Amino acid sequence: MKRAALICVLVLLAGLAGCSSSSKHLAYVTSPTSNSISAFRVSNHSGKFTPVIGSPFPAGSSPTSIVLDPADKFAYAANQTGNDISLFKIDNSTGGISEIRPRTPAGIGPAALAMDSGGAFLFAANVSSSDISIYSINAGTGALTEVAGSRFALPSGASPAALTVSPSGKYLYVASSTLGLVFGYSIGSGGALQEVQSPVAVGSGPFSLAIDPGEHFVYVANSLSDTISVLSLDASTGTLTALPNSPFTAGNNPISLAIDSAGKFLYVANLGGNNVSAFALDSSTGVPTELTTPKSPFAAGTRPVFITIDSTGKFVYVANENSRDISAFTIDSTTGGLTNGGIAASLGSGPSWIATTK
Amino acid sequence: MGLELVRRGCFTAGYSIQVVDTQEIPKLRMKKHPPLNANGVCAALRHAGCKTISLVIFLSSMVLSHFAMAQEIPRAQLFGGYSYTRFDSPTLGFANPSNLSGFNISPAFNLAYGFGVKAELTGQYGSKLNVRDVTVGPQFLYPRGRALFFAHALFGDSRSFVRVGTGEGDTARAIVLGGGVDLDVSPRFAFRAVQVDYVRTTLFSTTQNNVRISTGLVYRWHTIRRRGHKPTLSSP
Repeated sequence: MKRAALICVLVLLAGLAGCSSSSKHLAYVTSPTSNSISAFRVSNHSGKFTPVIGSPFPAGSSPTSIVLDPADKFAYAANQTGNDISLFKIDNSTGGISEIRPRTPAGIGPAALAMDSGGAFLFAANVSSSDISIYSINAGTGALTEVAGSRFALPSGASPAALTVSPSGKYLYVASSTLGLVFGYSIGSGGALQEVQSPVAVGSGPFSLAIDPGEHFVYVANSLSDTISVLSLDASTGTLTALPNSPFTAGNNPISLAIDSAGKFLYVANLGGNNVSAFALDSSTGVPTELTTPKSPFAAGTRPVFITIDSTGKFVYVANENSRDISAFTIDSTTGGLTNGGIAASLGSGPSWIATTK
Repeated sequence: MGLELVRRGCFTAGYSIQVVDTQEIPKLRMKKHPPLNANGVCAALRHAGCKTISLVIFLSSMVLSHFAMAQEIPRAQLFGGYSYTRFDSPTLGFANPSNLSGFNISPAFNLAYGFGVKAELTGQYGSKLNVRDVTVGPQFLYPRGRALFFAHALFGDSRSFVRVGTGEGDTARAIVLGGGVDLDVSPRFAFRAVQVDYVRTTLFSTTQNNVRISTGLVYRWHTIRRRGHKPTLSSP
């Protein structure tokens, strides 16, 4: 009897001590107006955000975009008015980040970042100087080194607002928000860009690009024409061809895109509609069909500017600029429908970008 | 059935006493005691990196069976020793709970037989965060032979500093609920075999549920005897 009681006490103490390891990952959110980056520990199970102590962390001047290296050791933030890139070391145990100086110079107005899946190169879209900064990444230190051929010039006035690297890491696509064009480049072994074709016309005001995991289609959010362009991608050459019925009708000011890891669903943050549209993707034709059951769109916060699917593939997070918060949605993996999980986090200033660790 | 106090040999700095049925003594001499079958629990604890907890609880379990009747408690006590805290740092965004080590200093003054007041000052230190608590409250004591069991409820403040980013500090309320057992080593000294506390703090606007385990030495002054009973231990 006494022995059984003792064992019960031991088990109770083990539980109280919280011996089990956690199953969480991290999310980093840029806030350009406060020159800071907020950090959160995110539950893999519930998607709940817990602020990391010390957050928000000081960053550069107007950090607009943030990407993480594949090992989740480093974070890179594009400082749009600082005209440089900040490197941060991630402390996975605490969730904190600490900047490693000096900052790496970029072009004028770096507004968006993209990294290849292998973590070899980082690309920055300089919206004001209309060029692309290209950096090789030291996997050990995270340090950036500008490659030969950087900054890669775009046509005058192109104002690149978005860019993305294909899953294979072979191609880079850049959207010109002012010209309504998408540029395609092959990425050389040293990071140099080679144009694969003449730019492809899309809708008005393209501000976001997304490529399906199979690397068959490129989706473009045309924010000023309320449409989504779909371009078929030739994986052998990198060339793009618009689908016959492209562009497709979307919500009010589609501004940001995210595709689930299976390539079955496309989620679009609508800046003017304050909501998120969900589309089912035809895996063979690439055609997006807006969900009717459950009915898309799904309400978000005020002025959503960025959307992402977290590393678990179970949750969608939306950065709402005017309501200064992060909306959370749970994905129904069967229907693609979203269940609004409310406000995952409130911020002191408007968020612009979200990056999550694995 | 008669009872006899049997010396079982040295236990740390002193010796322990076990209550046995005198009719069972021949049997005890004939066969060995079966070992405590808590291997599964110990393995789970070790797997979770809780070796310290396992060790302290194992020691306490060995001690708890070694007691007999006594009818006095010390008037005043001063405890000092090692302290381990499993801090609920996921509430601060950490990936896992933090293992903190440090000290526990605790003076107590017993107002009556079985009841006193206690203060506790603890400092716990880890690679990323430090926590210091100052708490005061009542304690309740129950002597059994050379063992003195106690329980307490302490209230006060907790001060924490976290080395993340530029560093963050906070002070908040702390509640400590727990107890333990002291074993006589000499009239002046006792060995605190174990003290286990649940420590609730509200640092950085979140609530932490922490576990603290302490062990060390207790220095004692004078005694309070229970009315109507003669002392079984010599008093300083």
